[in-house]
Amino acid sequence: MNVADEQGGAGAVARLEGVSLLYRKTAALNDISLDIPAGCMAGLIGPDGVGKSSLLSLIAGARKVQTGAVSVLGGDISDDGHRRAVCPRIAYMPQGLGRNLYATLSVYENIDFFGRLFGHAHAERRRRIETLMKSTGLLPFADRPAGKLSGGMKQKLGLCCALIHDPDLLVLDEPTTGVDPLSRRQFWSLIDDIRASRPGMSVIVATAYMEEAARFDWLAAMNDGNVLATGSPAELLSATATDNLDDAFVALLPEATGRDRPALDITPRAEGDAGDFAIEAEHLSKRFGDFTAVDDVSFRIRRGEIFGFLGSNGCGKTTTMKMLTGLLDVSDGTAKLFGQPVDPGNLDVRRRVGYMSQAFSLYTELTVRQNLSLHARLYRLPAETIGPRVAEMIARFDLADVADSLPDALPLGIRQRLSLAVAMIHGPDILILDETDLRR
Amino acid sequence: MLIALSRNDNVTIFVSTHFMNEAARCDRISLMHAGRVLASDSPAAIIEASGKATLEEAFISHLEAVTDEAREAEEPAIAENAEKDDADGRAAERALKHRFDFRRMMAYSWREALELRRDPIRATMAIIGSVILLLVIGYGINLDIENLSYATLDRDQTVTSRDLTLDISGSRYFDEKAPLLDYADMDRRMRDGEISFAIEIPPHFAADLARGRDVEIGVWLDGSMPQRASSARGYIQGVYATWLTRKIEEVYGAGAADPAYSVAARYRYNPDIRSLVAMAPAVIPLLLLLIPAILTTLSVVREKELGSIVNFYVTPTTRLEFLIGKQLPYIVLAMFNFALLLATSLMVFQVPFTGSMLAFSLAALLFVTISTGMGLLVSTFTSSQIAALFATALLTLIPAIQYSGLIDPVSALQGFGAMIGEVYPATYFVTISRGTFTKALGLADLHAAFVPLLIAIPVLTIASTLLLGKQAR
Repeated sequence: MNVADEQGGAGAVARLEGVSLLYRKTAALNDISLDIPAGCMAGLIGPDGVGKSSLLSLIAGARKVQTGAVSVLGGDISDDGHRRAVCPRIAYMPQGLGRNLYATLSVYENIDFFGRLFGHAHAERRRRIETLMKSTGLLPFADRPAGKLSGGMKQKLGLCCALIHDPDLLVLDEPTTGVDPLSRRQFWSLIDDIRASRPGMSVIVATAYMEEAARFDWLAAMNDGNVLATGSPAELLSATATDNLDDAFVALLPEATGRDRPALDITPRAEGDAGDFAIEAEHLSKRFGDFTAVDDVSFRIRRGEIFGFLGSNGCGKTTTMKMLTGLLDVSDGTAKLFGQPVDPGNLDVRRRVGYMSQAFSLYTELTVRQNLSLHARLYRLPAETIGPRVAEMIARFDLADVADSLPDALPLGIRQRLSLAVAMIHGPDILILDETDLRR
Repeated sequence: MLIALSRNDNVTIFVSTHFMNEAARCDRISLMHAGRVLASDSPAAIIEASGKATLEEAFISHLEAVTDEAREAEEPAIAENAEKDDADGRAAERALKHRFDFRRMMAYSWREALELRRDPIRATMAIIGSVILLLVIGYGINLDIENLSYATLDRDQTVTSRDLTLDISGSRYFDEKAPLLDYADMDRRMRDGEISFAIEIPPHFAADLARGRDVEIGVWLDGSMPQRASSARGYIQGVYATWLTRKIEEVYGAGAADPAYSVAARYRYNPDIRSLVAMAPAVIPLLLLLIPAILTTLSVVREKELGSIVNFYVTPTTRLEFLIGKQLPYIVLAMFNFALLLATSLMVFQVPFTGSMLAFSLAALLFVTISTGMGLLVSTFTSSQIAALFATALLTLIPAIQYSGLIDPVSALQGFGAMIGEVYPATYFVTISRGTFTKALGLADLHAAFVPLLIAIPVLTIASTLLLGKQAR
C-alpha cells in the first residue's frame, strides 16, 4: 500500500466526521468534523480541559469512538482489523510526564520493552535503542530508573519509546507541558531532526504553549469540545488581525466566554514602602533523604508585590511555597512571614495566608455560596461577619449570577474565580497561587 | 483582578507557574531550576540583563549556563535509523500478522517480573505474606484446647471429692484456678473470663458414692465459644468417667464397672484430632487462592490507574498475549509460595503428609493458574485498586470458605450453596489437598478432582479475553 493512496487526494492523515464524546454526562467533544493534514506538524491548541487529549486518544485508537467516524491512515479506526493493521505505524505519547513509562524500569529497559512489543530481534533492538539514546542525550542515563529522571528527560524517553518502531504517525499529547524551557527547546529540535530523517512522517501535537504552536505547519484551535478555527499559524493571525497566537485564540473565542482576561498592562507599584517585607527567605534548603529539593534559596517579597516563581515541574517551587507557609519543615535557613519566623503551630500567621492550588479545593456538592460560607467558617470568621463577607466576595469576583450553582456545572474560568474568592474569604495579606494558570 | 488585589488591597501575591506569559505579568520573578534560583528580578530586567528578546530565551540562557548535559548530544543520528535491517523488518512484520506472538507475550512477562522484583513491598507481600498468614491462622485458630482455666466449687469437702478434683487438675487440658466460694463468685469469674468452666461437687457426694447411689457433678461451661465449650465438656466427661470407673473398681473390685462407660469414639485419618492437621490442607488452598488472585488483579488495575495500560491499547499486543504475559510471573511466584507454605506446614507445624506429593504439586500448579486467572477476570471490570482489592477478596474468599468444603462438606450443602460448591474450583483443590495430606491418596485416586481444575483454566482465560477492553471507553 503506498502512502499517497491511503491518504487520498485531500492528504489527510486523520479525518473526523461528526465526532462526539461523552464522559458520563459531560461532553468532551461536541460534533467535531476535521481533516488533519498528512506529512506535517499539526497542532491542537487551547487551554486545559477543552478536549484536545480526548481527540488525540481517539485518533491513536486508545479510546473507543462513541459517535461519528474517525478514519486514520486510510481506514476506520473503530474497525478492529484496521486498527490491528495500522497500530504498528502509529506512536502515541499520552499526556502527563512519563505516564506510559514504567518508573522502576531503567531507561534502556523501558525502550527495550516497547521494542519487544513491536517484535524486533535482540540485536536490532540494541542497535536502535543505542541510536535513539545517543540522539536524545539519554545514553549516559541508560541504567537510571525512569521514575528518577527529570521531566524533560522523561519526555525524551517517552519519545524514544514512541520512535522505536519507526511510526508513520506520531501523536504527542502535551509533550512539553511542565518541562523547563531548555528541555522544551531540545525536545522540539529533536522532533525537527526526526522529521528531517523521515520526511513522510505525520505529527499531531496538542499543546497549551502558544509560542510553540507558532512553529507548527497547521493548527486547530479548540475550546469547550469544539473546533474554533483551523489553518496555518499565519492564516489564524491574519483572520483575527492579531500579531500573536495568544491574542488570536482569545479573539476566536465566542463572545460570551472569555474576553474578560486581565489586561496585560500593570500599573507600576508605588515604591517607597521598602523594608516592609511580607515574605523573606534566607538560604532556604530542603532535603528529602539524599535528594536536595530546594538548595540555598534566598529572596524577599515586599508587601503588595506580585512575585512569581517560574520553572518546570519538580524544580522546587511548591516545596519552597510549603516551607514558607509552615506546611513543611525547613532543613536549613530561615523563612519569615511579616518579620516573624514561620512557626507551623501558629494559626495566626496561617490565617494571614490564602492558598489556591492547581487542584481547586472546592466542594463539588455545595453551591458557590455554600462553598464560600463553609470556608469562612473553616477560617473561624466571626459568625456575624460571614454573611456580609460572602456577599462582598460574590460581588467582587462577579459570581452573583452563579451563586446558587454547583461548581462542576461552571466553566473553568468561573471556577477559577470562585477558587480565588475562596482563597480570599478570610481577607489574607498574602495570596499564594500554586500553578493555577490564570492566563485566561 | 489580581492586580487590583495587589494594588488596592495591598495583598502580597505569590505565584508559581511554568508559563512564560503568566510570569511576565508579575512585578518580580525568580527563575527556578533543580531547587535553585537562577535569577531574581523584574521580568523586564531579567530579559535586559540576558540580552535576549523574550523571557523564554532569557530563561534558556540561564539554564544553559547551569546545565552540563546542555547540547552535547546534538548529533543528527536519527538518520541511521532510516536504514532498516531488512531481515529483521520482515521478522517484525511477520510477528505483527500473528494473532498470538510468543515474543510479545514474553515481553509482558519479562517486564512484570522486573517490576515485581524492584517493588519491595509487593514482592515481600507476595513471598512471605501467605506464610505469615498461615502462621497466624495456624497458631491463632487452633481449635484444640489445652490449659483451659477452671475452678471448683467443692461443697462436699471430703477425701473423695478432693481426689476427684485432683484428678481433673492433673489433666494436661485443664488449668486449675483458686477454688470458688459460692455461685456469685463463679458468675463473676466466668463473666470476667478468668475461668472457662466451673465444676461443682454437690454435698454428700462421697457418702452417696459410697452407698452406691447415683452421683452427679455439675459442670458450668462458658458457652460464648460453643466449639470450645463442647470440646471441654467432652474432656471433662472423659476424665470423670475414668475417675468413676476407678473408684467403682476400688470399692467393688475389678471388672465391676458398667461396660456402658467403655464406649469411645475413634477418629480416623487424624488420630489425635489435632485441628492443625485438619487446618493446613484447608488453609493452603485458601491462601493460594487469595494472594495470587489479589496480586494479579492489582498488577493490571495498577496499570489502569497509572496510565501505562495505554501501551496495551495502542501497540499490536493482543488480549491473550497481554493476559497470559501478565499471568505467568504470578504463577511462578505462587508456586514459590506454595513451596513455602508446604514447607511451613511440614516443618513448623509438623503436619504429616501421607499421600502423593506429585499429585498435590500438580494440582497446586493448576490451582494457582486458576486463582491468577480469577484475578485477571476481576481486573477486566474494575478500574481502581481499592475496588479491585475488595472485589477479589470477596469473590475468592466467600465461596472458598462457605461452599468449598472448608467448614462443611460440599455434600452437606443445599440448593444454591451446593451449586456454587460444585462449580467452584477451590472445592476440588481442597479435596486433593486433604486427600494427599491426610488420606494417603495419589494421582490415580484423585484424578476425578483434576478434571474440573483443567476445565476452569480455559474457561477463565476465555472469559477474561472477551471482557478485556482493547480501548478505553
